[in-house]
Amino acid sequence: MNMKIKKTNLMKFIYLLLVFLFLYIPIMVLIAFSFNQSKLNVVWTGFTFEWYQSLLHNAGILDAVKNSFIIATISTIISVIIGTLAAIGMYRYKFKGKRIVDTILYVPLVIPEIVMGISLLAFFSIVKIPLGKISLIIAHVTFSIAYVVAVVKTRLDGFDKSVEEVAMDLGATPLKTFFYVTLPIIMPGVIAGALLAFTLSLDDVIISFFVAGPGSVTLPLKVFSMVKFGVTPEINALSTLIILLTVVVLSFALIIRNVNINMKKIVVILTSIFLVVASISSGIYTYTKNNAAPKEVLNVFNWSEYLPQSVIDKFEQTYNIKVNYSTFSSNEEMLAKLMAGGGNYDLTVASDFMVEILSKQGLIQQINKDSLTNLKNIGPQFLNLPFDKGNKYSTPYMWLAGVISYDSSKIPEGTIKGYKDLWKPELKNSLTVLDDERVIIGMTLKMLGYSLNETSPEALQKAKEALIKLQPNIKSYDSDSPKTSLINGEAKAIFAWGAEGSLASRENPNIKYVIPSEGLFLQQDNFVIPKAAKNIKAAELFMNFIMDPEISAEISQSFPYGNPNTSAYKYINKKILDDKAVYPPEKAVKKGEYLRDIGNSVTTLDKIWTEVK
Amino acid sequence: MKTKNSINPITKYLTSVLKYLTTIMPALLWMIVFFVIPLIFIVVVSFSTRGEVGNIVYKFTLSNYINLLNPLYIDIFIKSILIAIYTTALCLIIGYPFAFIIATSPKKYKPLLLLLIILPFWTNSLVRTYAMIVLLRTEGIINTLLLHLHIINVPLHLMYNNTAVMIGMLYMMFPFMVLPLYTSLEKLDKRILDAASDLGAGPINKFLKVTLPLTKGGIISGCILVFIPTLGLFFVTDLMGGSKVILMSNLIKNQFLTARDWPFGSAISVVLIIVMLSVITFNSRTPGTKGIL
Repeated sequence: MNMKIKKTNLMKFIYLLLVFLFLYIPIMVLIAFSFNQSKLNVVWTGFTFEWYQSLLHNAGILDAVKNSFIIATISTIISVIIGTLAAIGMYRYKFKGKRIVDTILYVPLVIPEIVMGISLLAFFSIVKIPLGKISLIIAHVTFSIAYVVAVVKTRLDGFDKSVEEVAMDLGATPLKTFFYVTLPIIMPGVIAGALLAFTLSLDDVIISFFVAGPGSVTLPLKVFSMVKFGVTPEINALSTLIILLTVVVLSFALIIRNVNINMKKIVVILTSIFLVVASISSGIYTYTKNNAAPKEVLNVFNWSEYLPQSVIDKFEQTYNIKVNYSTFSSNEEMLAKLMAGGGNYDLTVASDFMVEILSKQGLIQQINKDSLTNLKNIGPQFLNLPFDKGNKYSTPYMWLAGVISYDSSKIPEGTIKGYKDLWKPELKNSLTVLDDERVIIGMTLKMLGYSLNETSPEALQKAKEALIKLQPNIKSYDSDSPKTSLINGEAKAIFAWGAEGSLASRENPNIKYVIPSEGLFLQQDNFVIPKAAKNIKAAELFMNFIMDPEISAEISQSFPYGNPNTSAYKYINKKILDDKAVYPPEKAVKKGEYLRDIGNSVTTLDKIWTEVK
Repeated sequence: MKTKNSINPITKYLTSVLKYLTTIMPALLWMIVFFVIPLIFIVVVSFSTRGEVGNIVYKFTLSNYINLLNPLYIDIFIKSILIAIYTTALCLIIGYPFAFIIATSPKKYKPLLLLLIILPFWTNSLVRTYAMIVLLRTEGIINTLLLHLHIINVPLHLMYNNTAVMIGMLYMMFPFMVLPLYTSLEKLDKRILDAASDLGAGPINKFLKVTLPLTKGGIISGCILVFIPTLGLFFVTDLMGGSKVILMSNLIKNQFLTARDWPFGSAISVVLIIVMLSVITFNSRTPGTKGIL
């Protein structure tokens, strides 16, 4: 008998161990990569502490951590109180319309996040609740309540009401009964609900994106907005610190309590972890930002990792204006947010076709070119482009070209010369391409000899047939970081922005690129001023500041994107300018094309895309 | 005496209403103001038309709903449901014994184990998924290890296929299954199990006839908390599966972002909400599960 118990105990232990290994092995990898020299989370290149150092100086990330923990803690407390009460009420009382109440409490589980985000944003902008921490907390409480109710109800199921009655008969007040009888019994459910609510809040991206305002960036928002230009290991370093801190606090509590913590104490422990993290990060934050009293404010909306902090600092010092930097992860997200009436941004960045859409929808305003003296530094080939004739609305920031990059150790040189070669049978299951219907359908149209903005039904039909034939060659679609699959050997070739190829070749010298013979796919990102901007003067100062040759060169030294500021070239390292993935030959650029808005045809494209995939 | 009698039912009624109000009302009001009212906007949009530049033209139409009947979209719906079912089943099969062991472990370890389950989920999900890719890729840690140990001769293809999607989904949704299961298993009275043993029930019978029915509430809660969010989770299929299939969540996202067809996106969402709610309602009508959902 004893042997048998021992044996089952051992089996139980092994099972627990296996599941915990499954949960923690990725975390160990993540921790290991926080010491990796490479900026990309792909292959190991060497040991460094650099990311921990730069994390401590990255005010943007620290600010986001502080915001995230404050919002998660407050919204967890509110949703647990409201949710637990509701679960008790729903369990105990019978009333008319109970089924409807029940349904209302569960819809948040069912609703797609993006729908909830957009509808909340529209609501906030109608009732004039300013976007910021408050709106974020409201949103997080709204989706957390459903989870808390579901978990606490599970605990209440089969709850013995007579226990409460006994307490009451013995003279306890209803309040006392609740705190000394009911609550301790349902406590495991409450704790489980709180853990879920806290975790959900800490990791929410989509809903938070829509309801966040200028200067209230949360950690997940920060991380996802880095996606276009690479999530840095600083985030790994941060995750490592959070885990370490939790483990330290936990062991500390265990030592003090002599491994005898109960459910009540875990609440205390959790709260203290939140408070410690929040106070440390806010301490570091105030330490790093020992500025004088806030002055004028400029709200900028941009991708993350697209503008060096040093440039922002210089602007703040020169003009004594505080820059509130908020981030998005795609053109479309930015548009959706402006459409739903969100945010008082003074300045945002939009790609070519998006400038056209924003101006057609009346979401941006004309700029006053008299104050933009540095506009003369921009090369003429980057001005007066079809998406914004006469640059009424936009000033160029950076440009990108779509190139094909491949691993020359796997594909012989000369195999790929243009888009059409991507269809070759020897590339079966070995391509990664951008996960973007406009780009990929556009590329196919160009391969077939059309413009990438072609919308005639015959052309689209042909493109669709060609794309169906391309499917066997595709290993994955990825807009976030297509270089990853090339570097780690999953894909043999990628079609993506030049910067991806350039970054990949730094990790693996075998990676070469091809300028497609059918003509380049170009994209230009531009600064625009939204209609709702409050500080137009500062926005124009910023636009002008960015176009200063030396400042512009500083940006190019940090990030591998094409700089339209030809006057800045003399300050840029020649090696950067010689990178053909970033600065393709001028002849190819002249043959290149930009995306345009194609009106309602985009829904046809979307349908083709859905059918092809 | 007479007056007391006539007052008593009223006060009793009032106190019961008061209790009911204090428990239900905060949640109900919160949800009506911040959820139901904003949702009306989406319902209105679902009957509107897409403008030439992707704006919303408030002209009544049913075409968005009719559009949905296209077999293309019905296929996507079925595919999404299937993935959600697999994920839920996988979470349940692995999560149930896990929750059971934790719930029956010595009391002093329980909070610690509970915290250990949730701790990995406090790191950013994107960074966590990147770490999974490092493990799973063809030249990754798992393949290298297996090759060195001579367990396999050819590297396994673990990325960009259904295996990768299932592993990723399991990893994302695991705590949402384990926590409700734990909550209901934890209150399971051991004496009932002992009684069953005393009455001659074998371990399998004991589990099927006693443990399982008594924890039905936790199972249903866990399944719903996993199944429904899985339908809306696109970045696991995108990152781990190579984004080669379009699921419900991608379709809706595309309508609101790339295609800028908010009316159609809203219509898909409204239909999804109605279908899912009827699934939940159907569940709560099943005898024996009353009051759980």
